[in-house]
Amino acid sequence: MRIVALCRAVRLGLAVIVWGAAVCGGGVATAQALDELFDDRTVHEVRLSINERDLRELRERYLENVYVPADVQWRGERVRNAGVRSRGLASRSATKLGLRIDFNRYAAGQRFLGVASLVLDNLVTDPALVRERVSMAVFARLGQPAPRESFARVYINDRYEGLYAVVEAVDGGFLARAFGETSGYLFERHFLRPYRGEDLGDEPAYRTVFEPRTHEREADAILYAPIRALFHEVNQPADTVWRERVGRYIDLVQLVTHVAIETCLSEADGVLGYAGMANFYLYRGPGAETHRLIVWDKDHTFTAIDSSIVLRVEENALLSRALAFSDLRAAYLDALERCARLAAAGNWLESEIVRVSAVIDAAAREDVHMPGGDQTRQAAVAYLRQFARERPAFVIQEVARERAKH
Amino acid sequence: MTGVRAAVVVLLAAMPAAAQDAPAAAAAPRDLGWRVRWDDHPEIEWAGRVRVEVRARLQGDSHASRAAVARADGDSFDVGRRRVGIAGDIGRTVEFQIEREIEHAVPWRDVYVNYRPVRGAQIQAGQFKLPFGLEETTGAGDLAFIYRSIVSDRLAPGRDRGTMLHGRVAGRTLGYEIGMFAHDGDNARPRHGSRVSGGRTVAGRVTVEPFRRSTSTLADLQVGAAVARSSLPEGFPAVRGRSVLGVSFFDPDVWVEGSRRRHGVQVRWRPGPFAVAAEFIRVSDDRRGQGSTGSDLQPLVARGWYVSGTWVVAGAAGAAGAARPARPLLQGGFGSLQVAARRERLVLGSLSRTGSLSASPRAESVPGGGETATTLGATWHLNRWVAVEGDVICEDIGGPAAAAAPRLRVWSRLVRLRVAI
Repeated sequence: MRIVALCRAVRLGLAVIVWGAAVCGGGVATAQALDELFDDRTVHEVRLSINERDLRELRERYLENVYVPADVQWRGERVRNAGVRSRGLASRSATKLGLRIDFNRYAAGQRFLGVASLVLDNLVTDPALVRERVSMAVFARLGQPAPRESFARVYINDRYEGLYAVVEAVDGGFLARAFGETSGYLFERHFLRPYRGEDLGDEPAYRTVFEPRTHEREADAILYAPIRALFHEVNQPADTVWRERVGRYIDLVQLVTHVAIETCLSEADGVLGYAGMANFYLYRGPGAETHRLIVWDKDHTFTAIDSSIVLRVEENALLSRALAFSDLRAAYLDALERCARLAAAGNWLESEIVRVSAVIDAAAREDVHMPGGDQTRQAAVAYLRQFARERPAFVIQEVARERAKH
Repeated sequence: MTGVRAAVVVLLAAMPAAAQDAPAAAAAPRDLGWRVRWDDHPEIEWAGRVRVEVRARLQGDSHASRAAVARADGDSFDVGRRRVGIAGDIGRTVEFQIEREIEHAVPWRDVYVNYRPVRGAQIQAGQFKLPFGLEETTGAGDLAFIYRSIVSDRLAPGRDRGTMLHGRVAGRTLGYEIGMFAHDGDNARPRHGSRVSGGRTVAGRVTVEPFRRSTSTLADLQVGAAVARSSLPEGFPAVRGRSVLGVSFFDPDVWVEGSRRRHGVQVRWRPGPFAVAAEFIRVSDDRRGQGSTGSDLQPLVARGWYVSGTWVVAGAAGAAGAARPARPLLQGGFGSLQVAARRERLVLGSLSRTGSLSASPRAESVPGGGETATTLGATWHLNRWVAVEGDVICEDIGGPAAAAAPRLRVWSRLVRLRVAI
């Protein structure tokens, strides 16, 4: 009897080991495949199959978030009936569709390489095509969680749609990778009108500014109470308790670091953008009140080599008050200097621009939807290289000048 | 207001009974050849060549249901149907019927002419029910339940404009109907432009009463089979899952195109006071070229069945005559009482599952939704014109699996007062 029991136990143990190996092995393989998809040393090939009727509708209604089903294929991996919609703000285009792919739109739990969503950025607002990729690399190298990106030739129904950036969606998968958790509250800055950190009053008013991407069905009072409290406190007098009160609702050091990197890259459409706060996510961990920023959509960086490092700070209720505190101002200037020195070290930023531009060169030349054509792209890349060479020195000089003031 | 309506209905219910006491009271002058009488319906006849019946129907319903009620405003008494019409003959070979609803979105019902040179070959033209579905093509006054089965209501075509050749041959043991219609009936007609229904439709039915000539209890047994085929334009189909009281449990937001094919089999047997009937209907919509790659997808299939049984407890000779009590109320009797039970099931979705479960409009296989319903009913025919019906319905409703809709069990109670002259 004991021998029989022992044999059963051994069989059970072996079964558990085999099952565990299969599950873990599958997960590792999926993660590896995802890493390969975001390998920016090559231009990938992503193929979408969309019923021609749906494709017509997608192009005709590209300004709306109309979902249509699509089969998505990359290498040997294929997902059927993913949900695809037009995306972007200024970058929306009927001729070169900017696309968001939600693999779980029609089938709860469906994933592609373990992710629920992907973004195919049509790059139409960036004549150089590499601003977004290079900017995200800067954020990542400075320790800020940033979406992974690579490039792909995108074919829709076997027709070449153009060169796209494959962008990791900021969703549960991203949160798991960046923060090791998925159950927090994620909001996307929803651009309906300029917003510069004013106190908007009740919670529902913030729904027009920050769109929930998790916990969407929860009540506004739960979703937005900490955000309402944040901007209420932001707009109180910047006295000795301001920092403590505001710091309860936002990680101020992370905030000024994020903005410093944007400023270093001369971002025109970021937190201190020309049209108010734009292109970021707010994230609040589970059970927490403190928010942090997550970078998004960096196709308006590299605007001007000599743009001020305090440009539009005074227009923003949050940053103008935060940078009045000496330690936060020091953290801001430190982050600016780190960014500039990273860019300058070994000519890293220019090398990155040259490397990425070379990777996409052939695919870009074939992209007939590229605004301005290849000559414009070459000129834009030349400007980015000049920016990469000259901007770091300008920033370091400005940082020194700001430090000298105080 | 509801009470006033009920009183009006009861008042109307008494009128035909009074008329029955004097069926030929208002005779017209004989020298003109006119004759007026009221047997089943008030009618006027001229020289034996033209006969016109006047028909009217009024009914009031009371619903009490735990489900959202789409056919009426929740728990209420509602004068839901007011219908008038005429029917008759011209000579010996032409029959006609014109019937319409008062205050209804689609007022015209049967509007047709039937030319009958011989019993075995007749031609009917106009708007009428397609020859499909035993219960669907049975007049409302002859039903033992307040509502037709959801299978009949959703899957049988209903009325449309068309022409039909029909007749009964072989000593009436074999009946046939075959017709061409503009569309595939009003039961599947979309209320919204975003959905599509069948185009030109060919429909046919054969019924057999194999023991008609015998004197056994099987003499009344009738079996039949029906088919219909329609062209189907591209769009979301209008054949949808609705419960008895109109609760939506399956909206097939999937693309279809190609043909719609309906198949049905039916059986009816009325031995004495008992009757049993059963029916199976299947509707299949092609999804040609509707895949994301332009490939064909599995058809969207709706199928269902019902089995019903009735028993004339008292007051009429047999199940077929339940609506004509031998001794009406106020004429020495109490009318007739019939009880009935019906079990039915309707399922929509793909027949087999291929690929992952998906709610995509272009999914290879469509996740199914369905309903099972049990109805217990009783009908008290006060006389041949007035009836009071009561049904209790238990519905088990389940939505499409991909929608993760919770299963729902709903009890409903329905009462109807019906006056038909």
